[in-house]
Amino acid sequence: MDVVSTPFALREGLRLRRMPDPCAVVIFGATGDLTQTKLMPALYTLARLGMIPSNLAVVGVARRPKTDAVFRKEMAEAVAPDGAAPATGAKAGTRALWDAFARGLYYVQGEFHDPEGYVRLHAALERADQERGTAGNRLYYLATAPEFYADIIQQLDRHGLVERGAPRGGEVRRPWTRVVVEKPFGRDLRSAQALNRALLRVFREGQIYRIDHYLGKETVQNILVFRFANGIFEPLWNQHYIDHVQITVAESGGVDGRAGYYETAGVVRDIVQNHMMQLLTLATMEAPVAVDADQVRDEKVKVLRAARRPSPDGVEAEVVLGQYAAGVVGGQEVVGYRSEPRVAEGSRTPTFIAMRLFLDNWRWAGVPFYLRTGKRLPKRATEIAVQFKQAPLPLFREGSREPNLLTLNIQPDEGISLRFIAKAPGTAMSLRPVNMGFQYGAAFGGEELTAYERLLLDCMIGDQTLFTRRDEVESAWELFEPLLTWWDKSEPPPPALPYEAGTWGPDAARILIERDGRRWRRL
Amino acid sequence: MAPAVKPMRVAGTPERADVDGIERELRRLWSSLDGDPSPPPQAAAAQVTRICTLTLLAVVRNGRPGEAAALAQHLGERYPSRSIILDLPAAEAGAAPSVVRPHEGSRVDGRLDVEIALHCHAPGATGRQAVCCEQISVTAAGRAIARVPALVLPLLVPDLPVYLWWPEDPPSAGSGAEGTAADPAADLLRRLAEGADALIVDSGTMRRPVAGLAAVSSLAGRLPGGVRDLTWGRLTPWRDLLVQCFDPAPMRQALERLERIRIRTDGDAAAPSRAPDAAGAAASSGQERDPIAGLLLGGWLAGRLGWEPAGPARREGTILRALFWRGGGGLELAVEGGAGPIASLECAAGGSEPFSLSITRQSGAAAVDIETRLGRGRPRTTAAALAAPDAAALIGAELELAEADHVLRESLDIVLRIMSGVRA
Repeated sequence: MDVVSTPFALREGLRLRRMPDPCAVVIFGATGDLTQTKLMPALYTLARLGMIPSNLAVVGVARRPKTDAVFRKEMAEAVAPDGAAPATGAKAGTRALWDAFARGLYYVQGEFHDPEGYVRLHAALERADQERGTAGNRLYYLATAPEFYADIIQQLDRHGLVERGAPRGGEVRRPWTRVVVEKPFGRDLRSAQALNRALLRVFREGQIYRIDHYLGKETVQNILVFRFANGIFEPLWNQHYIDHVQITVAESGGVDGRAGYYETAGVVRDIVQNHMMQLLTLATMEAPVAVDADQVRDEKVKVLRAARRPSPDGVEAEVVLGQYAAGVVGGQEVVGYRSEPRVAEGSRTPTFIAMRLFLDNWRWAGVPFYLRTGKRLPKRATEIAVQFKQAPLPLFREGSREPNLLTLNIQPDEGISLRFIAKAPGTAMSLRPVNMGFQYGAAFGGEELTAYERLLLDCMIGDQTLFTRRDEVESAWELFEPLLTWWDKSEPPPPALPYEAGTWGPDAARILIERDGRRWRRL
Repeated sequence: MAPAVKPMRVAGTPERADVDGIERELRRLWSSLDGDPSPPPQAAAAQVTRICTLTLLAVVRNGRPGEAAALAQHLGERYPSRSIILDLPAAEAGAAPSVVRPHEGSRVDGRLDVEIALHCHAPGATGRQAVCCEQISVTAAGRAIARVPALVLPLLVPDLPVYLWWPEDPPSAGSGAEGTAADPAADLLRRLAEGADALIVDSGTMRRPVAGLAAVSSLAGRLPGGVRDLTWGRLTPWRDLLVQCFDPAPMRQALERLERIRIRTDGDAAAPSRAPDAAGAAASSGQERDPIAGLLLGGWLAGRLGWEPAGPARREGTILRALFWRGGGGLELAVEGGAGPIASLECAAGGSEPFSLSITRQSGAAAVDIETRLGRGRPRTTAAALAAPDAAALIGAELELAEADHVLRESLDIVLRIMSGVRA
């Protein structure tokens, strides 16, 4: 039934240009939190908005025994179709829509290493093909703990559940298989390489979707648009005009029930190696030849390769690691990290990092990038702040000489602002900084897709642009090898400097930037 | 911490109803928000931001400018804009001019009243910043209509797109009451269209939808963003759905063998809000208005799939039948109903691999039932979402599109071809 894939004339002119093929989404770890809070609501929203075919099938795989009916009921509660209706305007249709959607939900019980479960999965998928018309298309979503990834991949292959298919862009339409891998993708370079090898024994790179939900955010995608759809910023976007860049990912929350995972990860693995590197690479990459998956990722990888690796004994001078102690955040008293449930007594897991990074390429030579992220900081804020060099000559004596600052706010107040100097009204030549701001929510109101909705849609369509490629993830780990080695292996172990919750990290973080004659932005 | 901003409105009337007077009053209103700590008290606490992404110019002739103003204000929350609501009360549109004093420019006959308001809302979760949009309401009657373009065109925000929204019948496609005397609005539409990027109409509200669309499409050449039709916008969910249905390979093959399409539309009672006399016009002629939604959807399929009209449509009672040629044979399109939204679509092919598809809107729900039968197997049934966008969503969708919609143009061309000289 192979058919030559031609552009579909009816699709032209429709705003919804990309409609995925009907497919079966197989979620491993279907009873977990991620499925309930993110994946299932996202899939249903996409169905409700008519952005994916109505005959989607979703097969949940997990260890606990349960029937399809129980699984459907649990998912109905997770999605709350009736409760969700008023926000969408789909009121009366919602019940009928949910019922049609729920008919495509199936449950398969199985241990992830146990072949029996995969035999049942095979049968369930055939049933879905029959009942839903999913035509052999499969999207496997690994929403389990990472230690099960290798088993699942191997078993899928062994049971003939992976269609390798023609390379992307092939002329022939065949059933496709794709796999989505959640973070953390490895815990260092070696484990990431091992996971990549395990994946690539079974899948082609074009079938692998390594998810980084930061890339699903509108404002992160907007970094590329801002830089490469406007002509006036890019000429300034280099070491000739930029003094330095600050990237901040501040969280006011603590580890909140994720202490078990966080104890093994720490701030570098949790935020820096993945999310912050996405912000850094998008903000600093060269213009891609085209906005497609490989061209964009080629440029991002080049940035990671250009990042300077500190020598083993030079690490200490470039980073400050901290851990929050008790304090007050947003008016509430909070406990210190070591007093959180499930955190080891005397744990030295870092919850804060400030670091300086250089990109050794022509564009960025000599421009320091200051990165800071942590938990229990005074407020939640993610942003990239680009500080320009000062005007060459101070002509005006009075008032501010603050340099121009361009800020890309990622969350919570998405937008872009530019600080420049203006004359305050009056007879004196008094200068003051003013902010010119663009607010995303104000200029473009309305409902956007959440990160998971957007990324799931892209997986089903087969667009990898917003997913991390093998060399990208490995380069990012490789960049942090010296730091992780220093932290894990030094004798005596370097301490995580305590900082009071509700402050901007240990004092050493301030010194890190001030010794260069610069200051952290006050957020 | 500043309190959250509540939606608010400040309004005023310019001393003189001219461009300078309006701009002066706008400045006064803005500065009252910036500096005045007196009521409305929310303004003092909030940071007030002016954002403008377009000008929306609405021309209202049905005597209900309030509806258009409320809609424009609502749209402003998603598409911050300057909106200009131009009210041409129908009762006075054709009234005889009052006193004519040739040398007293602005005070000769007819009223020209202007009111200005800033509508502020607080987008985002924090709600501590107020975004305010300007709304200028102009009422013009009699000969004052001729002065409107000179007043309104300079008020369009420079360098940003201008959308002209004409929700009623276009002047040249009226009921015929204009007779030999030119409808003063005809010249107005032409001149405003010269300043606009796109013209938005709604054929579903017109007395004679096909003739109305034919009339406005003659303006399309001057508008970079072309002519848009909200009735066409209401078809977008149907088009999305049909694309989805026909995307799988076996369905696409079936599409190429299609022999019959039948589209049913709802009657006038279900048509979108329209001029009160439109139903009367339809009633007096003893028949429903053209089933424009069904015709456009059929025109879309024909245009996109390369079906060639075999001649004008025939009217059989409430059914319009049109024949098309395509490679390999003929195909019949039957459209039945009034100027309301699509109620159902059925299509079928015979031969050795029979095929049928039926999509029926669930009553009162934003969903459809779909039944597909491919070959001699059992039919497969499912339900799918089918959005029923409201007027704000429909106009909003047009504001997001900068270029002319060539697919609408192509579909309309087919409709005009099969409806030209159609026999009753």
